[in-house]
Amino acid sequence: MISGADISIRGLSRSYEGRKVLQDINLDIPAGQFVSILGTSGVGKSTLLKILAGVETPTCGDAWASGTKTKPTVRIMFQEDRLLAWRTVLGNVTLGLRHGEPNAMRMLDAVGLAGREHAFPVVLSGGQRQRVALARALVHEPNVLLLDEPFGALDAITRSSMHILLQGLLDHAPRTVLLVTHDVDEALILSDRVLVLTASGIAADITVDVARPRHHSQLAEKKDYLLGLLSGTGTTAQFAQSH
Amino acid sequence: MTIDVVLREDVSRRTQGESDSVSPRLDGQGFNLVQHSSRTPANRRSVPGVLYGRTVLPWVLPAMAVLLWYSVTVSGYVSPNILPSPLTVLTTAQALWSAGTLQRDILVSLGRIAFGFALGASTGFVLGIAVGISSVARLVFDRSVQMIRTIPHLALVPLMILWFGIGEQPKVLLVALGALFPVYINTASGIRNVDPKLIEVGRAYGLSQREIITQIVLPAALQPILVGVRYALGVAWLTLVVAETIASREGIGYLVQNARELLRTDIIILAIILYSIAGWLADWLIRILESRLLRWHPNYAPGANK
Repeated sequence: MISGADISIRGLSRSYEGRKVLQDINLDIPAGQFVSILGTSGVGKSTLLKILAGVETPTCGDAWASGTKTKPTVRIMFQEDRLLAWRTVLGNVTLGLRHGEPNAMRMLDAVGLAGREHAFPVVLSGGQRQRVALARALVHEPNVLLLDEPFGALDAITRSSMHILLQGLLDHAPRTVLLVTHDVDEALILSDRVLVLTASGIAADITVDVARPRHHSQLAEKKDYLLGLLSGTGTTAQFAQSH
Repeated sequence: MTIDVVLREDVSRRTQGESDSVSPRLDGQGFNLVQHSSRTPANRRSVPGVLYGRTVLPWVLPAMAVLLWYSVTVSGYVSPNILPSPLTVLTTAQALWSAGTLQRDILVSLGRIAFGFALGASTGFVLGIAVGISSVARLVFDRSVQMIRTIPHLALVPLMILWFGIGEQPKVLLVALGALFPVYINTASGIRNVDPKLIEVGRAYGLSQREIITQIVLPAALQPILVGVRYALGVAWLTLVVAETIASREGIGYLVQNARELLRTDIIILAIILYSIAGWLADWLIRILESRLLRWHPNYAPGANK
């Protein structure tokens, strides 16, 4: 049985040529929790995920995942699908997978792309491409799933169908999930916990204890609170867009 | 109102194949929009018609050129000593073939091009990979290679003859030198232009350094590399012609050289035709390679217009 891993982050900072993007982040996420990170551009949300994914190193501090018997698997999915154009759908899903073709086929079936495994990415729509990217991340059965604004570039209808798909896949196999998003609605619909990240650190940490499936009316109060908090940090423009 | 609908439909068609979502149907209304909306390549002409056009059209100009050539020679407008007729050239080809010299010369030239090109292109490829991947290799090699590249390699012909005589080495080496740089430059820059985001995917998905190079970097750079190969092949032919014409005892270039001394215009023209057929065949081979290796690429996919 797959399970999530605990994540602990202690004193994590990252700066680029003297410019600090992450400053002294301390965070504990228990196994299986779905956490969304909201915040304006440039506060280091993506950097945090990249550090957890192991493709960036922190300037100082530590981040580790524990609580599984073997070394926890961490997989990341990006805003751009980043599919390899020269590989078929199946070839993309089996990237870095050893002898995993049956699993890949099952995963493609689960994201609703059965029958398209030999297609090249160029013929897929934006939503289908993100489904492939999601399958590519999930086929490794990661203990930690990192989602860096994965649905940001999709239209509203495709985005909510992706929400339903993701929710369904996670119900089947719970994992620890970190979602970076600009969309307050998305954060509230999907997650157990919402963090607001600002330049000075984590500004808010709220729990969303509403049973699923959720409806927007149940979340109105929290949404107002989060929007107020985010607009207070100075940049209202990008959040105003989503309403 | 109607124009607005048409425009939106047009836009939805152009956005990455998602046209299956919404496409307003306007049949039964007063405006004839069907003409406009059915302007997809498949509908424009029947399939056999397109195939026919694709097979026949490229041959129209060459056929006209041969016809023109034939008519000016047959009419006596141009003296046969200046320009022999196509039939004379054909007869000459037959005569040389039955004497056995034509096929020998062709084989010798093909051998030189094959050896020289293989040597030059593979060196350029390996060097290009090294320079594209490693910054140390770039610092060591790039400046020197770029400096050598600026020397017109045909200027080395006299030196090569002095060093190696008129045997096979100078020709093969010159062809190799001509083929090296296009492959080198395109490989190195193709690799350096690979989207770093894709390499990041490889790292995030646990690929080793070698797997990142073979599974991500090289396939991503394949298109510019093949452009380099195609260009290199052209340069290789050019080099061969010059090298063979200057110093040779066999090969198509020797055929030309000999014919010039004997004032045999027909043989010279035959050699030129042979060179052009060989060049065209080489290009055709590369294009087959491209359509195989790049079939994932929108510009090279089966059915894409070339």
